[in-house]
Amino acid sequence: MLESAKEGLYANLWVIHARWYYISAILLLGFLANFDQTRESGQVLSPFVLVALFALGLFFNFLFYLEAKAIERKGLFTRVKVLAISQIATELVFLTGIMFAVAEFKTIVPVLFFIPIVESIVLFDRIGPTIVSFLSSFLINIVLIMGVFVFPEQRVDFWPLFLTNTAPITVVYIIIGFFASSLAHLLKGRGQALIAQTEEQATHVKDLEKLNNELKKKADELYAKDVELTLANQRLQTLEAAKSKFIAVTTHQLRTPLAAVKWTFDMVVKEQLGSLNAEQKEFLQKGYNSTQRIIAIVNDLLNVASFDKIEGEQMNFVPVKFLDLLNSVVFEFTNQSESKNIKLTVLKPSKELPLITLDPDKVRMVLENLIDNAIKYTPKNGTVTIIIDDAKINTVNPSIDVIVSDTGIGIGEEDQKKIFQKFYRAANAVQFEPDGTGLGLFIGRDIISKHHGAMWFVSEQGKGTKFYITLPVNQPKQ
Amino acid sequence: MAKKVLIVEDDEFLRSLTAKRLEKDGYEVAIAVDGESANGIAVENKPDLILLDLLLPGVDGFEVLKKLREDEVTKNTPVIVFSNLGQREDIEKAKGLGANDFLIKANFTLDDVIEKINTILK
Repeated sequence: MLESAKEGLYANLWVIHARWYYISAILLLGFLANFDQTRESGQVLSPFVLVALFALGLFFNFLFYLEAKAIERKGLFTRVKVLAISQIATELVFLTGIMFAVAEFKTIVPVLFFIPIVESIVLFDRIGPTIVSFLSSFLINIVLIMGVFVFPEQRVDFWPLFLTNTAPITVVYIIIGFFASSLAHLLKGRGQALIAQTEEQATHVKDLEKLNNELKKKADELYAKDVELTLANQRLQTLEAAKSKFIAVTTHQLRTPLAAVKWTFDMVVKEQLGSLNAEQKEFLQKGYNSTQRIIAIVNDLLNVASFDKIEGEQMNFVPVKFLDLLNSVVFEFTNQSESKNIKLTVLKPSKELPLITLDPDKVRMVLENLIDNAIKYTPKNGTVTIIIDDAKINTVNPSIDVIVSDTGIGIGEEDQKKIFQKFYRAANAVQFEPDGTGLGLFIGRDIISKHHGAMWFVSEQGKGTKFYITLPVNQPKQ
Repeated sequence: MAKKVLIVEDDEFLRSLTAKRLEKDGYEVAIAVDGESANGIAVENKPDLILLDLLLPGVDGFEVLKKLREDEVTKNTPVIVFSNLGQREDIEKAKGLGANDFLIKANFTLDDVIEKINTILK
């Protein structure tokens, strides 16, 4: 709304500005006409009158100018319409007066009425120019008719006058009026479209500013949260490290006296410090067994601490001869498997394997855990077979499969769903072998997934288990 | 001549227990109670085998082991590292520095220890 009112004011100012020029032009025309008049019929329009009219015109234009500026300063935009109307009205009166004074309808004066019509295109919309046009036509005709009676010297017959002058003039002005109106409408339309666009853009800008502020607020909130989380994370890491250290230190400290107790019990029970009767032996044996249990628990705790540390560690990838790694792990278990008379075999592919990029320490742990489990949970005289399968070595994403197969107690259906969970141990496993943290598979799967590989198994309770690992040959570039 | 075993162990009870047992089995025993004196005593006594604890006050077992392997007198003496540190890294490190074997005290009895010593010194 404000935009269109401002536009109206600027239109008025333009008209006022133009007027300075054209009233000077009219003054000049006046002098010329006068000169012409003097030559022909001796009638003189006093130059003083001309100058007086000019001065009056200047005066009125100045008043309009002051009014326009006042409106601009004080923002009294309701007065814009009034200003426009008074400008047009004043002009019409002036022009009528001049035409009357000159009293020569063959002069250029009627044409001067185009000026207010053009102005009305700028100052008003559709109907304005039509009205001004009609008025102009009307005023011209009035003067014409009055001239017949007032200036009898120029007397002519009415009807020829009407047909040859009034009618054409009226028709011409009506046509001009409609043309001017449609032009005004076009300009106004354009003007309004522009204003609407500007206002829309202003709304957009406001919306965007609001959005921007909200985003800033959210960004600040996020930053604060990030700082909070970083601090929390640091605290957590410190806590984890402290916990691990505590467990490690304590278990080491506990182990020393536990070893001493164990040895003492052992020596006494074996009658190395003197003979015992059956009862003494029995009780001391119980003491020894209890000590063993405590030692086992302490060992487990130590394992938990070390696994916790590993859980957060990064992988240290290097190219490795996988077969060498596997063989060294299998070697570690020769004693264990021999003591249970379990046949431990490795089946490797006929072709040499390429170097496999992996973290040797972590993968060693996984292999140790699987083979340890296989031997642990297989009763005496069973078999544990480790197979390296290179079927997928020549594919787009080359990988090897490692299968650890045993003839052990197997994993029950219910337990299969939970076997990879942290600390989970199947019931039949606990019964068969009390020792165990329930962490091996959990950590193992974590390590294998960090190698972008996969770990799964097939098992039947009472028959045996097959654990599968897929290891990609190459790791994606970091 | 009886074989001599050097025990490097800071815990008094374990040390005396081990020493008594070794003597009972016919070994001559020398002892060191900390890391600093261990190397000196080793050179002086020239044992046939060294039982080395890793967790020692001051100079730790790893340092002792390193120095043992650097010294002409002791560089070929069999060393059984004898500790309650059971982490993989520790075992690897000890083996890497030249230990012949690694035993976790709490997991073995003195009998097992004697058996090991007998095997090595046979």
